[in-house]
Amino acid sequence: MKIKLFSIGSLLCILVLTSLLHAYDNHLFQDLRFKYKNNDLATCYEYSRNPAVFNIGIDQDYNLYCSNNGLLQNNYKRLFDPSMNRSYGISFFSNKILDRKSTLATAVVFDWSKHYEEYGSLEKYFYENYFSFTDSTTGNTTYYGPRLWILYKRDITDRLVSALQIEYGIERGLKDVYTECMTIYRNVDVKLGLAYHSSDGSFVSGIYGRIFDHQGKYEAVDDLLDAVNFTYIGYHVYRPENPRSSNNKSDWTTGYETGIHFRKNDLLLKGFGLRSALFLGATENTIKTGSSSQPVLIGYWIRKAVNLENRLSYRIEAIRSEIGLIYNYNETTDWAKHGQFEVNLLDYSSSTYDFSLDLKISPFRILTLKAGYNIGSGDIDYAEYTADFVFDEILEKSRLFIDWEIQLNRISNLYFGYENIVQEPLFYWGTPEFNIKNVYLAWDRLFVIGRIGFRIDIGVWDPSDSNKNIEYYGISLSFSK
Amino acid sequence: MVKKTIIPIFLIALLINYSSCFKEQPNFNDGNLDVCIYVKIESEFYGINEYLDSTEVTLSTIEYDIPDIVATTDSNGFVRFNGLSWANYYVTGLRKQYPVPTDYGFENTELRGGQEVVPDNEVYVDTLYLTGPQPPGIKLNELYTCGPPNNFYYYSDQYFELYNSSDDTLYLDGIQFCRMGSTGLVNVTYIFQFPGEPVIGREHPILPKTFVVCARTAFNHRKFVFQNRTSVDLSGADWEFVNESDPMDYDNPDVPNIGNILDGHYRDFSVNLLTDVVLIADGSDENYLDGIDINSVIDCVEYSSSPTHIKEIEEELDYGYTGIGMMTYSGKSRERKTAGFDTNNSTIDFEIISKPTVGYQHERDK
Repeated sequence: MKIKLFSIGSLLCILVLTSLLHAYDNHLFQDLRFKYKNNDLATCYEYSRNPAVFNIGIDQDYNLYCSNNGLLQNNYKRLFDPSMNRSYGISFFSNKILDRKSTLATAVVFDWSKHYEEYGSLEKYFYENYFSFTDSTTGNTTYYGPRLWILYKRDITDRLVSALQIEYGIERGLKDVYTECMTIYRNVDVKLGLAYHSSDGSFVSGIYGRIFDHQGKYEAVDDLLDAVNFTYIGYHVYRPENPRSSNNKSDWTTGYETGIHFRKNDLLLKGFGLRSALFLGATENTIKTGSSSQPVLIGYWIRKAVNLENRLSYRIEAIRSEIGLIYNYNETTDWAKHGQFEVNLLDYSSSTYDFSLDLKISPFRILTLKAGYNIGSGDIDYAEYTADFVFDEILEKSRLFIDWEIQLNRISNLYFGYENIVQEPLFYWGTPEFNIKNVYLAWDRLFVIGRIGFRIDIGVWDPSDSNKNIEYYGISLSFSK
Repeated sequence: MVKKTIIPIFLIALLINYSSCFKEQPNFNDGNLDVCIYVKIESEFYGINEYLDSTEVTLSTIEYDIPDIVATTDSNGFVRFNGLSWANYYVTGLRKQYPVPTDYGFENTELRGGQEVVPDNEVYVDTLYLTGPQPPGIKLNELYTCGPPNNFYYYSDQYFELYNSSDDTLYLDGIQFCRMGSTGLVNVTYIFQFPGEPVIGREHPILPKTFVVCARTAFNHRKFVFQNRTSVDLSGADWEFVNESDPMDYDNPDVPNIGNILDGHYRDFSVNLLTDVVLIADGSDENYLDGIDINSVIDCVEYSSSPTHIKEIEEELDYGYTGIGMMTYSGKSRERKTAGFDTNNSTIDFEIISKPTVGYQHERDK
């Protein structure tokens, strides 16, 4: 039990502290990401996003310490991508059972990342914004800041659990050449969840609500000439900001998300299981630029999203195996409005679905194999009315993954994962198709002082029409106790 | 049990209701704006009231990186721009040759006009009035204020260029050179004055079609400060602003002075690099403490780098302002498009030029 707990803990260190804590980048549905993250066999907390089911079934205190180091080499890059991105992070996670009814989990993360040779963009992620702030310089930008994550869970009754999760993060960024743009991001993200579970744990259902508030401030100054900045409206047309000693941008995003989910094991027949989750969310982003005393309202953009995830599984206990069929559906609509006039600047809508088949088998007690195949398709409509640009295509995606978990002996485990994704990306990637290969190797061992884990990630993104690629290298160290 | 059911329902209802606070999506998409312009000339003096055909109309905006759109009016003086992006525009009209009646028959003159277009409807319709040049005379022809490229905040090489656009010799005697405040003619910040008797003095002539350079500091800034890399040589300026109350103010003994006449002012005639109003008056209004008499004003130019700048000087003196988009320490200057051309609207009379032209007129891009 203890080994199992720590194995889960080591993986949580990677997953919880790198993905769930998304205090700066908490858009509901994001663009392609570089991290290998296997959602298909996710924990209850991961698929439901409900804090009330966090660590369900785990009733021990434990602490995790983690450090990670990543290097993203953009040999293939878009105009506003950095040529390289180096990141470091240290994190501490603690799960504390306060009493028979209460659990407190906390995490503290400090991240540092540096974008090298980044042209123009003053945004951390230029292509995830419709109103991006730029200048005409090429330089290095450093981002750093702490994030806090607190989850308090309390049993209302034996079967009804409530939880409150609060994330708070501040991040500063500084470009090292004039306009020496300084950015400050602040995020508050609050979730309140309620879950019901049967006494034997075969049925779990819950609901949660989330509200968040993101504020970003940018200040670009210049030493000699006035700061010259541009605000992109979409990706094809920009607004030259009036030159002045300092140019500012502020964006303020508020949003909500609500989700409902259930999981039932032994549904109708023994071994059959079904889990389902539905999420609804919306954000509103207000962008102002100009001088700090007289900012100009540039525009608003609104995003609404629906996400449905279903997994039907069948478990054969005798051979410790499980087979699953997943259906996911995402629908996202964005529109942006001019700040001064009652007109739409752009529209985006996507409806994507994917089917997955996954398999988990443990032919031997020391070996667990997880594998899966996923195909998906997305109908993407994007129009920039100011630039008269239209993108209307159906994009395909397929994914194959395999994970090995080998118990080397009673105190150490070895993990290996590989995935291959073939994906047609959005237009701004400038290539019709990516072939993505991600691999990781992880190992952990129980020592007298605690469990130490080590993980290496390597990823390669090959665009179909270029001999340049994107490479990712990551190393993580974890200590759990 | 009822309570337990109500809580999640209430939670969902609350969050969905929260989204109703978001903005409503507009019914129209950008790119559907039409701007219709009638171009007209009206002059009671000449008895003219007609729509102008064959007139070049230019629509420009600084809100997007889109090029200017140029079209020519039809026989009804009408031009239409279709499918534009919604933005604030500036429309200018140029009729290169228009016969104006004179004592000797007709004389071809250039007509210009300009005004803002702030759309409020999908089809914006307005009339653009063109005017001929103001009567010839002494004009503020160039204002170089923003400083040369440097990293020590040097802008002492400011100068103002005057031009006599008339065919007669005029005189600078007693002419007042003012930096105005932000509240119009009543608000004088500095006032310097040429020597001599105002209006009637004949000691300091300015010949027809010639330039006069008035330097803040008549010094070779280019050679002695910037080692010939940038800035200007003002050692040969025609006039130099000197404030005798300022012992640190450099005075070139070879250049006559325009002196400060405002008690309590101890600085040189320096103006804001990007936003200010400069005015010349004939000096007949001796009591300048209550402002400058509008009838004594010879010429006035307002400038600002900001497109959202709020006008400071009365529109009778300058309908617009020049210098939008200029940057500090960029070494750029503002000069009339053609020497002495003045329609009382600096927005269309002036343009930003890449470098100062001390004592001569820049050549326009073809």
